[in-house]
Amino acid sequence: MNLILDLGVTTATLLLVILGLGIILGLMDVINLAHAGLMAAGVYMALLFASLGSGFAAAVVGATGATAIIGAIIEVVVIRRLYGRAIDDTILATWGVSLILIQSISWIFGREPVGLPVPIPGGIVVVGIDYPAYRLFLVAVAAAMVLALGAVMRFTRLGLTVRMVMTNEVLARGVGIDTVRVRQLTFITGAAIAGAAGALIGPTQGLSPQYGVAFLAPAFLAVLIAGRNLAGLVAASILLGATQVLVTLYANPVYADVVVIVVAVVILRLWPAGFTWRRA
Amino acid sequence: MSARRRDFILIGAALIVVIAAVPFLGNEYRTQLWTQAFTFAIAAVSLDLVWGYTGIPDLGHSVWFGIGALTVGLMTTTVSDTGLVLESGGTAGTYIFAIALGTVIAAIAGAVVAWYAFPSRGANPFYIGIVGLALSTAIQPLYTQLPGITGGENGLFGFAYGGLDTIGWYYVCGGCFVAVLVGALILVRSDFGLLIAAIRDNERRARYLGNDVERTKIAVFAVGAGIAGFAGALYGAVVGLVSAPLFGFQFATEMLVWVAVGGRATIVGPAVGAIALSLIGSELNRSFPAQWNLALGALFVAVVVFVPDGIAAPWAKWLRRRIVGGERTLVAEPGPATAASGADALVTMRDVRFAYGSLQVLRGIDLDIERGRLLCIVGPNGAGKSTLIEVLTDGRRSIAGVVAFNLGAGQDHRRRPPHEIARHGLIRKFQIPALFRSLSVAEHLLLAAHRGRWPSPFRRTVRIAVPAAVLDVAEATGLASRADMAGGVLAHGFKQGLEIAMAVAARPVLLLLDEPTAGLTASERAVIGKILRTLIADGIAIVLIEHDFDFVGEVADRVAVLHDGKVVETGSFAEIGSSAAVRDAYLGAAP
Repeated sequence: MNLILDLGVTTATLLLVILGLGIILGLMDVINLAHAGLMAAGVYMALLFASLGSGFAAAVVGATGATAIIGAIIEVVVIRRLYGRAIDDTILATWGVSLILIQSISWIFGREPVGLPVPIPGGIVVVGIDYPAYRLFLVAVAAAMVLALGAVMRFTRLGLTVRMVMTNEVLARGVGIDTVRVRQLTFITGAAIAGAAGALIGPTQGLSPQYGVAFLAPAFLAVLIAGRNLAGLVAASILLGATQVLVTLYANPVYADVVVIVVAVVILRLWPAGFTWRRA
Repeated sequence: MSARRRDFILIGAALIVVIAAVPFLGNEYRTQLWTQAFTFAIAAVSLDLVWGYTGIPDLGHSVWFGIGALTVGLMTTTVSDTGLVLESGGTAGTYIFAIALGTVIAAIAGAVVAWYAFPSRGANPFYIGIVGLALSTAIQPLYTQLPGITGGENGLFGFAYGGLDTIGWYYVCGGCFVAVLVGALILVRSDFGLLIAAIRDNERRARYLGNDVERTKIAVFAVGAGIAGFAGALYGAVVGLVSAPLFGFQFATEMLVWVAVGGRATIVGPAVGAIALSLIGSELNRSFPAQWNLALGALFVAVVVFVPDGIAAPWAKWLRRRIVGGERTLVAEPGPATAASGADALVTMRDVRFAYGSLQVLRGIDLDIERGRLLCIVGPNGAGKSTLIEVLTDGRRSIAGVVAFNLGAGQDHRRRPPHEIARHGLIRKFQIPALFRSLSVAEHLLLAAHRGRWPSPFRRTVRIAVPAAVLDVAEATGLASRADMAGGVLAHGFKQGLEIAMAVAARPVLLLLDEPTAGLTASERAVIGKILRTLIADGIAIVLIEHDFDFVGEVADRVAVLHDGKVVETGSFAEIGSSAAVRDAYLGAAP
């Protein structure tokens, strides 16, 4: 049972991390390595709000808003100029943005490791096991975010517009959709989700300006495996989360990180398009 | 002595004088920084070969550098189980051997990774980048887990070779740098350099000209990894330090920035970029560490977004023109346009069926293609004409039925990749012109004339010998006066002409032309028709897909009508014209 809970939490954490990345890749064809910097920005903003005396919920909301603003600036200054450019160009530029964000954070807040107090202390007893309550809360948040996003994409006019732009941008522009605005909003949404994820995961980790970087490789691989749909993101998170938890169970956790990367690389060799292969 | 050779010697001499003078201008510390910068510059040149020239995004180039440095460290230190360096140093021989070994191990590791990442059936072109990112990320934790070998968290240190003083090391590394730079310049100006630029521009087209794209990419990647390993090994021997970050993604991206800032695909630019940035970096890093890192991040963004060609690119390109140059020109080679002779039936297709997924396109094709005959395939859109050519030229398409070739070695074309089929003389012109963006018209023809022969990595072919018919095509379509223009800037009509010229230059046995005259004027088309007839007289077989019935009537020996994945009628043009089946295919059957 403990194993299943661990699996749930690891999957949820990964899902939170890759959600923003996946939205930006799926809708904009941009692999956004600025994600690492945005997650760090999110968690440090939450720290800042918390130190000013706000509650954790308010801190997360504040952090989300702040990273949305940072995302808007990045979109205007950098991302907008990269449409149609080769994938290695966008990777380099967005990684540069990450470096700028990380350095700015260590400049302002210092390089020393810090911690965010766990907002829901204590445990919850689930089927006879005392499990940290906040980690279970993360699972609920991840599930809620995925369901909300899925509902928006499927049932609203906004979702329809976004799907149109995603499928055929030229045609969408032809029928009067402001595709530049759609891309801009997409990037801002992705950035905001990155900030929210950074703030939410923060209390479970030791924090430093490099905080988001450790997630980068597995997250990057997970979105490539996921392909371009929400179900794929969930499936990729479960797959890599399960690998992580199982290897940690039987071996050194350091090897688990390595095994996750190896598994992901092998999967991408066998199914280059990830879980969207059926649609190809 | 030509002006170019004189410039080459002058610029080379100036470079050597500048490099030789540095130790006398600065203090010992500066000289050490320059020595280190040379090893980085070697790595940058190797990355430019892989990424800039061949277009392979290696996001883990630091791994090869780290392998080189670690090899030297392992050979010259003794480590306790907990990763403490107990003893270090060795003779000059040990160090030389270790550097050579590091180079070889890095090259082999690079070859294995590339072999895995470039499967012959083709994968996601960005997959190698994913593997690089994964390697550079995964090696770091592994490195710290093996302290008994790698020194763990602290790495290995203190194993710098003591037999040379600062100035001695400076000249060794400077010499290695100049040698690598010159070697790389020779490579990229050679015919092999042309091939890798072509692969970067349009992999698929290069493959259908007979080039084994995967093998070429694996070779370049292994050479690049080997040179980076050499750079790392030198770095190890000079600095005497290797630890996990040397393998890491951060360092890999720094290398990418050296190349991007200096100017991709210029060789000289990335070397300058590496030297300048590492010198500026170590100066500023001492006084303003945070600001320097911030500036580095801003530089990443600024270069990629605003100056994608690189800051030093205009200068590096000018330099390359001065010393590399050697414009390529076309010369006619007498004799027939094909080397083929022998039996008449070249290809026999019997009941060939093929589907894209659930879409059945070919539903049982029976067709004979004969030497010295021009077969026109006509039919409405969606009849399967282009698919027929695709199936003929790519043996890995899984078809039902029989395709028998009579091209000398090997009768069956099952599972033969496109480049092998092309080497047997089945040359194809794509329906939509597919050219190489940065190659000149003459270079396109040189590549076609090679037809997949492994090009020389040293020699630069300046006079390109092509069949006379190629020059006729070039003359007729107006390409002859545009031999220096790049494929990316040609107007559509010239692209069509160049496609035809390339197909002829490859000395085909069987020429497959998919709508060659679309976009050409009537007079150009007439000349093309005449040239096709002379090729037929030389013994080439031609298959032509065409919608223009006047043109078909002028050139065709035989016409096959394709409808709904089947050959519904074959015969002379006159016979086809009066056939009821053809009328039904185009206009629909009368009720």
